[in-house]
Amino acid sequence: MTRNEVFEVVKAQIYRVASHLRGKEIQETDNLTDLGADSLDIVEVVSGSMKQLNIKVPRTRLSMVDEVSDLLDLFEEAVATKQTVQP
Amino acid sequence: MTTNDERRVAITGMGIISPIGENLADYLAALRQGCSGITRWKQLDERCYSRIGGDLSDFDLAAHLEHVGIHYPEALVQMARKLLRATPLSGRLTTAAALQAFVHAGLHETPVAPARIGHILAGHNLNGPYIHDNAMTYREEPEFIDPLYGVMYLDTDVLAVIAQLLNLRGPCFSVGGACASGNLALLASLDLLRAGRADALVVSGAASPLGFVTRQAWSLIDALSIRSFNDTPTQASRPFDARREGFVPSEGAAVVVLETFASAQRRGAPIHAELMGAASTSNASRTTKPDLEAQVRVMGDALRDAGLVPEQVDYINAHATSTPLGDAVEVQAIKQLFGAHAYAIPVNATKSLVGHCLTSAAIVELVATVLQIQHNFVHPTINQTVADPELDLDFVPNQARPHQIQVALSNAFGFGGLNACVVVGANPYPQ
Repeated sequence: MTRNEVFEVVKAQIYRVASHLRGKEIQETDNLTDLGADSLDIVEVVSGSMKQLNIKVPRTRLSMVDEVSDLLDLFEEAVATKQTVQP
Repeated sequence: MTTNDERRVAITGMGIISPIGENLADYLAALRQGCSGITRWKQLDERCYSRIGGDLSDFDLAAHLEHVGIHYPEALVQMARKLLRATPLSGRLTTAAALQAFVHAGLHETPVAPARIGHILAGHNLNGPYIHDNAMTYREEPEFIDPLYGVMYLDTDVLAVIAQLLNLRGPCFSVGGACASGNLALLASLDLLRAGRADALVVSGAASPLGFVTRQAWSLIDALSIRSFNDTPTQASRPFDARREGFVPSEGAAVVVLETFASAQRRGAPIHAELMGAASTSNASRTTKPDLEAQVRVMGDALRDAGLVPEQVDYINAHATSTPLGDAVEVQAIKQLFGAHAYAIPVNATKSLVGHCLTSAAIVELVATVLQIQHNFVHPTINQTVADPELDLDFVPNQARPHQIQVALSNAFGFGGLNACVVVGANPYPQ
């Protein structure tokens, strides 16, 4: 799975949770709070993405996330690890 | 209005989401016609004894907001959609009813100062199926439980969602008393308004969706109708009838806006009825067995709180769940308190139509009571086919009829020996 495919999953989750953002282009450099998401929205986006990607990232690492790109870094790594272990 | 009216309490708004109507007009029509809302459960587990109930599990919030909410302010509709998108069923049903009541009271146009309007929620154990589903998910994969479970499993989330949506910043808490919760919340609200702690309160009867475990558990203690009417569910809830065999759970929510007469007058709000008095008593017993003395006492206390005597009551909305013992003891209590007058007043059972809405039941029934007061009729108690010789009051069998109501009394009795009663009067200042 490419980084772009992971990004598409995350974007779909953002649009699902924060419907007011539908139609707005989301960039990797965006910050979810700046986009108008509250703390509960972010928890939903993260969990929904992990569920869809069938990955688990420790919450301790997720607390470091600032921009969308940070989230993608973590998810991309977890997807790659999973694909290595379970080809 | 006189100076003495300052602290009298009006009902200025009502909302309802029930199996016989998801707005006041449809609910009123169903009450008049004697429609039953009881069906087979839409999700069945063949191992569970309980097969029938008032099922709103497929409630469509978006369709409801488009239909009933067509005149709601757009900002309220948008916020409701966002807040309720992932909210479990009780919160969706209860909030939809709260929106109706809020708009019905005109609070979207002539508001009460946010710090002077609060929210009292009747109900507890509101999210059983949601909690059960997440427990099942946890067994499979702890990471994938609902990310908002930590917020939404709490009953107070329903309280908070409605407070956020309607910007209610005054007194805000939930009241728990099993199937008497609704009347106990009305009692608490009446006291708060009389004490001047708020000018208005949204009082929500929260829907109590039941999971399989609770349905099964209540079947095991012989509380539910599980034997004779699974193939004819509309006949199962039959309070007072000789073939009654247990209550039929249902998922309705109802909400009222209570307000001091002074506040209603300031806002020019319509007074639909007056909440005149309330009372609460206990059987001091864990069992589900009703207590005659405590029922007589709670009705008498509520009337005294309203400054009335039994002979002034001209309608009773009975608790009447359709259980063999419960209905019999309530009829006995009414006879004991009212004497010969008991035979002169209609006593009907809204649960024959809606089923038993549990923690919201008393507010579902308050809305029915106010509609009957306003429209000068009494709704039927349906499924009256075989008379129980010991139950000989006027239960308004099977057909609605015209009836003028000035003073109504409404009972609610809950597991744990909790009894609560409210007294409702017609608007003392009709136009």
